[in-house]
Amino acid sequence: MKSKSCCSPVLRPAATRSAGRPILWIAVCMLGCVTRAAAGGDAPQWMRALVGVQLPTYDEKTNAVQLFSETNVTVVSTDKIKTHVREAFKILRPGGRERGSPSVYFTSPGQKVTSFHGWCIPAQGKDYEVKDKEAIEQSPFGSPGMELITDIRRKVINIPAPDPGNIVGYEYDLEEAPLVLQDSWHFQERDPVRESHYSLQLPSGWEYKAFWLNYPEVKPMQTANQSEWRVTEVQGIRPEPNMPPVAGLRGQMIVSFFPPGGTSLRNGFSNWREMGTWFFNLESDRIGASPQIQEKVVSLAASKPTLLAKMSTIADFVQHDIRYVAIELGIGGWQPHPAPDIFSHRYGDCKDKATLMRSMLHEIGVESYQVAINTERGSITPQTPAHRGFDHEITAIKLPDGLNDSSLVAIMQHPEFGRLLFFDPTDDMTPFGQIRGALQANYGLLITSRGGELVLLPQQPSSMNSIQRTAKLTLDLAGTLKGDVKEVRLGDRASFERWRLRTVTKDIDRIKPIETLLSGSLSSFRITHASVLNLQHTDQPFGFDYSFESDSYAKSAGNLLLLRPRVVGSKSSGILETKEARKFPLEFEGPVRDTDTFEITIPPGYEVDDLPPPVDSEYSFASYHSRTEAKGSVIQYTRTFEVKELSVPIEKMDDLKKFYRIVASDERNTAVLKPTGK
Amino acid sequence: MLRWTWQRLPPGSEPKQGPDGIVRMEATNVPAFQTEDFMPPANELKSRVDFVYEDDFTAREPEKYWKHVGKKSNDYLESFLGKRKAMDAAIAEIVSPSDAPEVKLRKIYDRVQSIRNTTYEVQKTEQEEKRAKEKPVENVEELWKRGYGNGTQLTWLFLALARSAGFEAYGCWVSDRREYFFVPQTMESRKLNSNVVVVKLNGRDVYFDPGAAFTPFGMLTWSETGTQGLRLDKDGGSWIRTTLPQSSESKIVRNARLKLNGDTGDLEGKLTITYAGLEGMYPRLENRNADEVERKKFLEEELKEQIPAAAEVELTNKPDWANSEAPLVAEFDVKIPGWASSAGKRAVVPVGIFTAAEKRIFEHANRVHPIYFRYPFEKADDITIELPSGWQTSSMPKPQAQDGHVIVYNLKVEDNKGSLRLTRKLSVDVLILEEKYYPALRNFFQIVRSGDEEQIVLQPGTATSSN
Repeated sequence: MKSKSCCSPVLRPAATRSAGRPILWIAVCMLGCVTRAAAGGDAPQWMRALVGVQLPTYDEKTNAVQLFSETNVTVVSTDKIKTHVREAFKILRPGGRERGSPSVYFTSPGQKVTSFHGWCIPAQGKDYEVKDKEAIEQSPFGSPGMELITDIRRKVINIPAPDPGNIVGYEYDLEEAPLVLQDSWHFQERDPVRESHYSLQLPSGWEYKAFWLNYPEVKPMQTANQSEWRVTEVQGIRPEPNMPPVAGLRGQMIVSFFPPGGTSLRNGFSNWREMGTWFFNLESDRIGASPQIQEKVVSLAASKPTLLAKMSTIADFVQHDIRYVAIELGIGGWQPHPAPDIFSHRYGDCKDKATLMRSMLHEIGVESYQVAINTERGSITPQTPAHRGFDHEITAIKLPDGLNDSSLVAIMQHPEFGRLLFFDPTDDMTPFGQIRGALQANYGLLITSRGGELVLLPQQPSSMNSIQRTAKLTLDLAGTLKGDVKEVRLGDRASFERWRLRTVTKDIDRIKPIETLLSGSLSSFRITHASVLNLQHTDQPFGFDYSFESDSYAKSAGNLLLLRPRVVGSKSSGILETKEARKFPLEFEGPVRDTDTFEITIPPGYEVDDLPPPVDSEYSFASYHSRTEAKGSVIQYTRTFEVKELSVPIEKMDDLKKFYRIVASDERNTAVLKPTGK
Repeated sequence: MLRWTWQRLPPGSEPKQGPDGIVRMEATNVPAFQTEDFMPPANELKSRVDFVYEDDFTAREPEKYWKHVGKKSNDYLESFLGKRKAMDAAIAEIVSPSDAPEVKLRKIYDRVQSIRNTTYEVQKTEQEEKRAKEKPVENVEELWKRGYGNGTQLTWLFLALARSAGFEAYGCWVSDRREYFFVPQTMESRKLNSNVVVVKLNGRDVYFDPGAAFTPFGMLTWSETGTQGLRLDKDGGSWIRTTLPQSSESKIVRNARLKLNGDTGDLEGKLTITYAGLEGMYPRLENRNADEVERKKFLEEELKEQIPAAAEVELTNKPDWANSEAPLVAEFDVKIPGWASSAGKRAVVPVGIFTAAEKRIFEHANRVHPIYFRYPFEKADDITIELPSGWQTSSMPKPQAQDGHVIVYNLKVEDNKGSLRLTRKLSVDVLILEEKYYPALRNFFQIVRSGDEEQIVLQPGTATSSN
């Protein structure tokens, strides 16, 4: 789901959200051309001092170590901040070579990289230098938020000889007119860190507040109006499949600074409430409806008999008739366009869509609020200090008293605002009343006139994200299995298929997902009929109905016939079959409850000799139950697979591995048929 | 001079030159391009117009065009090779006059491959190049003295040395079939983009490309095999087609000694995989600049992808990554949890242990494009499974022998009392098949999968065979 455009991150990428300096990204690609010559020059003293420093022993998979990092932030005024950054890495493995291709992301004209130099100190031979004039400024291909138009730029340098054993380093200066008076120091990333410094210099009379996350708080060294923090020997974060987002794992310090007299709320905040006010001030004057919007609301709602029907039709309009197009320049990365503009253009990004939705709901007397959220659950937690760590906006609708309907599921009870229904107008695959898995049990910032509040979005019942597969099949004497399968898909399971088929026009292409499913389970098959149900009707369950024949499904073993009762579909996973111990929790995208019921009529002249044992595996995070039973000439296989908790902690990882093995074993189990002897 | 050629345009939309001299083309209803597994290069399948600019020759007849190209290429080649004395001195260091011809040629080949090949190094910045003071090589003598050259130059060095050793040898420019299929009639010299050498060895034309790293003696990199090219001479050259290796020359052989755990159904033991020919060349090429850790990970992940179940694997030896000639041999400890499944009082063992690559091949019934294999290949498995004490074989699948002429599949299970022996071979000896043969091909692979899913029934404790 995260790869789908319907739910793409839509706000500005992290690199430009950071109020102070842009986070420095390492560009692996696009650098083959950055090879201009430069005269040789010695590396600066701060890098030379790193030659020969004692390092702890790192494991064999460590690509590089960050020997030194220094970020000096000088706040000149509310409109000007200068940042100077130095970083140096020792390359330990060939995989660390990309550290020699750093790039600085920035927004133009709001930020300016005023200098960018790089050096390499080879293990042998003279140093290399890359001068500022050799840096290349680029518009990155495909911005992280999929914006159509953006002011994001980057400067790139290519440092010579980033080979194992060598030290590469760079420094750059950045000047900016900040959108907010806040900065983030991300001192923990993929490489282990030997030593990292951060200093903040404020004008006289200014104050700051520093918040630490995922790392014990370090007290600064204070000199006059400068504060300096230092961390050493920080472990790197090595990626693992399905791990929590790095944003929620890394050690970081978030620092807000305030001019004399305190926060103006124009460009500063130190808690979620204040940040919500900052957001609110950006958005509050944007929802006013134009006559055209009012007219449209009337035309949409007039024929709808109930308030719920009116809300649903507006939701449908904003989801499907307003095209997702993001144009984000300057504050436009955070501030929505006015609702009348969004309506008349018929396009907008996520915050635009949420704004138009609110505007139209207001016209039918329903109040709603903007909610900022990060689509990677775990990026924002209750421990996270207030900062712009969001990449998406949705809507929270205040449900009027007395409005109750079983289709309205994504509801939280708020002590002040009553029942709030969360809805994502950008996600055109998820029906009104529900939210997709990535948003469930996730924290969002509820933005109201009273400020911001971090709220926990509801986790929907697992049965709402489900594949219910039923099959009636017949086995013949030759071992051919044939019959009909019905699949009912709900929630994200339905959205995924709808998304896959959204541009498909030919019937032969429409059955490809079914072919892919069958080929994962059957060695040979022919689809004799197939249809797709409710492809466009997102408020109805999505369905696949198909019939197939599979030759040699049952295998002969002497006079016996062997068949696998689990005919199609797989729930097992090999994700934990590694010798290396897992370091981070494992995240599921959303709750799931899948069921299979397969009835296989066995051929005349055969009876069941042996059946696989029942399986009952119950853990707090997931459960699996299967039964294979003989009922006359029919073998009935039923199973239920359920994901109940969305995060499995490290201490339960062995249980999860065991769980997946149990599932895999059940999926391979075999029933044995023997001649009746009649 | 500007020429243009086209392919796969909708009928009637070919470019036409009007009385005003302007060439116009209008195409409508061009279908979106579909990507399929095992399809020829996309360039060959898309609707396309190519514009060819020629600045030094304006022949409109292919024969004249290629004669001109051939002469010009030959002139350049001869000037690059033209240091006969230096090569004669060099050859004296490499071969002995008493060596048999093939031995001589092997020695030359090995020597050339041992020279630093800059094509396969990590790309350097200009600063690094400048500091290294490495100048472009102008001829084979310079290359020999400096001890480095790019892949193209090394192949020409091999040609020069072979000639000095007395072989009849020619330089050839062939068309790499990675991106395009070559058609001389379109007169596009840029598509002759890969150089090889043909040597008359024991009366046979044998093709070589020592400048392509890790290419074994007597083989070419896959995209240079079975393709058309121009053998250069002073008269403009002649068309040749490079040889295509047999499937048995590029194979993956898996030998395993595994033990079945009667309590858990786990299959565990030792596995040796031998990657030979082109199958051995590509892991080496892909990992040429990687370290041991990365190479280990590569081989372990390759193996995991071959097992149709979750498995723990660990590389236990240090494969020879530097050799071109010897197959790449990797040894593993393997554990497949729960491979034997329960069937009440019996246990069932699927026979296809390293068959995941064939599991999802050609899954769709409909096919738009021809089917294209990069080169003929073979996979051969010889697996022994030691059974738990007291376990007996209740039934075994019948041997499979499917001969589709260009694709052959064999599978056999033998009961060796206390152990099982599984042998499987799949060989593919075809490069390209028209889409009309897709149903037959898909059916063949369905039979392969069916065979791979056959099961051995085991009886814990004592029992009599029902087969």
